[in-house]
Amino acid sequence: MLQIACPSCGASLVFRAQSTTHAVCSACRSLVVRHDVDLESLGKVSDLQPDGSPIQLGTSGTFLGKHFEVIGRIQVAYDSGFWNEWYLQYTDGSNGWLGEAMGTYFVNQELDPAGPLARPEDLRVGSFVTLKNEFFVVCEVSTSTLSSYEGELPFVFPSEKTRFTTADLRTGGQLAATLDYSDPASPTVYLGYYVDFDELKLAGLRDFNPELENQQGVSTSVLRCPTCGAPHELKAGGVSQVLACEYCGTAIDLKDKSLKVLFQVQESEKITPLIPLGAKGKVDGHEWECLGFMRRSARVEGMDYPFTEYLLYNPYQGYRWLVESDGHWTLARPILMLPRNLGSGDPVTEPTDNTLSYKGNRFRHFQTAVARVRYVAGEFYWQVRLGDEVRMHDYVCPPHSLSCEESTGREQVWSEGRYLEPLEVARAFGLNSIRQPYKVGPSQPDPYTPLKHRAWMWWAGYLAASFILMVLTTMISANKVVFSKTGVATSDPTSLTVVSDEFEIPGRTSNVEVRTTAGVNNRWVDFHLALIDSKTNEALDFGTGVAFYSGRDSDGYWSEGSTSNAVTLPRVPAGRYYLLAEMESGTTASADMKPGEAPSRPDPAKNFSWSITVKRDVPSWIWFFIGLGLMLPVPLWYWLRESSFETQRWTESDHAPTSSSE
Amino acid sequence: MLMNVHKVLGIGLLGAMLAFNYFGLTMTQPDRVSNVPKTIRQNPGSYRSHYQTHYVHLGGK
Ligand SMILES: [Zn+2]
Ligand SMILES: [Zn+2]
Repeated sequence: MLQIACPSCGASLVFRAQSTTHAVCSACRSLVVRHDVDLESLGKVSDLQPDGSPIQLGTSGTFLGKHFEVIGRIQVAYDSGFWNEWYLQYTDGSNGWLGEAMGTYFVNQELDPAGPLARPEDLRVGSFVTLKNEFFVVCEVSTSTLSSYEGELPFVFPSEKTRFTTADLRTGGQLAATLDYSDPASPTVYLGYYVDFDELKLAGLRDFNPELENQQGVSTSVLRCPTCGAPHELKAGGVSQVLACEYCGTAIDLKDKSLKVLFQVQESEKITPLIPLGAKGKVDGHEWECLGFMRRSARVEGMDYPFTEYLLYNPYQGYRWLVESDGHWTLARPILMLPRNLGSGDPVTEPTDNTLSYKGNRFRHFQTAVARVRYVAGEFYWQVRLGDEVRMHDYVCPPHSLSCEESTGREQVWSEGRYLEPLEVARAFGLNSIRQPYKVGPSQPDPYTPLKHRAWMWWAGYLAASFILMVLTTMISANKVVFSKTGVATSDPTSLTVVSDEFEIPGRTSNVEVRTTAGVNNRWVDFHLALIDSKTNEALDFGTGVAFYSGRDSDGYWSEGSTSNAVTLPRVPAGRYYLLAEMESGTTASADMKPGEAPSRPDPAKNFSWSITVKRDVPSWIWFFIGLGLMLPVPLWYWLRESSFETQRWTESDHAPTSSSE
Repeated sequence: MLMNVHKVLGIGLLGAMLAFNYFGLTMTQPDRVSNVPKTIRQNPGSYRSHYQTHYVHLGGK
């Protein structure tokens, strides 16, 4: 660190960084250059312009775990206002830049391009540039001029009036670059990352408390409407370009010193916004002030669909749009990271109907329409005009949305949105009433999806729990063979009727399984059975049957049916029983019968062996499967509701599902 | 609301499944016939199971 006296005014001047060659004296605003042994004053620099920046010299922050302090600044003027390049001194002695404009932050460092760069006149918006083996999309080419400096700097521009070209290069990630042609002979590349304000953990920021600013002698700018005289307190002084008086409809050019009237909104067009201008509300954890109100209409198939937009401002976070359409609300923010094409993974240069990926979500194209400005009131950071038209491409991944606005200059502005419940908006801005949303919003989350998931989770949980319980039931059930008999059926009819010996069914009242088998092929056997309590002479009459068919055809061996079958009787009390069985057998298959033909007639049995086994207390899996079935209707119901909600959503889109009746 | 029905149903069905297994309930409803002849053993033709349902036998191809 080098501390010296300003050659102009003698005030103390500090050079903290090794790399800095120039410094602006904070006392007299002289630009001082450091030579090997002495200092030289290069004269005074112009005053810094108010640009609404929350950063100041001395602000500290963190990037990628490295702490930095802001020691210098270059303020640059371009078509859309000002941007700042803040010169950073990292604690490890290195230096870098923080580009900042209207709530966007770009931490960057000079990069050796290791090859020739495109000439500025060859840069086309939408074309690709390769740097460090990465594809960058040229998103904006603008002409800028130096506005002013402060603090320490590693270089200065040849003259204050130097006009130079810069190009913004973006990717499908946070990585981005700026090409700086201020020295056309050797353009400079700055490579870095777009970061959120909160990520930088900035400290020592400017305080935007108006009272404090008044104490510091910075007056909040109040402007009187040249038509009606109404006072307007500019909320984003230095950034706002147009002020449309909400009382008389006069729109003033704030960039013009004589406050030129840009256009006049007709009285008949006047709309009273639901959220008043100047209202403050907390959304997404930050407090926003409503700066502007805009009514636009989207033209779809010859019909105009109006929607309203509230421009929200927070000096640290920048701008947000609160968009209301048919009672559905979306909070949108401009983004600089480009969405990618789902297929190729390349950043999108031309918005189409294709599905996009952004921050890991898949966005489906919803609608493309031309939106036209119908009414404006309040402050706007760009040169808004009535009748302005943009081509708007909307993509949704509820509750998220992506939108690209293409203006005639082929400039593309992307924004990401999040659906807000109307109540959330009403609560944030203290609104007493808010209109009920109409139909389904494009990015409205499907309320049935989480219910469906939960219902299926419960179904799966039920499956697991009932399976475990059934396995336990199987383990502890007696499953005890209480009777078993085998025999052979012949052409003798008496061999088809069997009366068993008495047998004991012990234990508590339980179910009883009777399993019948018959060693047959291409034949069916019916068993007419009666389980008779030998004490009470009460019979349980039931039946079962087996059928087995097999053969060979062109596909090879086939078989159908089974030689075994079982029937489970309910609640048989303990006692002594015997079994009566009558068998009937035949070969004709029911499926082979012609319509109207008598049912399969028994025919004399060819010899076959048979067996009957009686077990008590067998695990009954039927209840397991019935339970799974009974648990299905609720998830299926939610699935149906979800589908119908999605149908309603997409009916309003460019991709309306075609119904079968059409 | 419906979700609660679903949950209660699930818990109820688990209980029912256990209870039905324990108490031996099944889907079969046999015909109960009282006072069948005591002579079946000697004369098997004296009683026939009432259950005469023919099963639909799937035939071969
Ligand atoms: Zn000085
Ligand atoms: Zn006015």
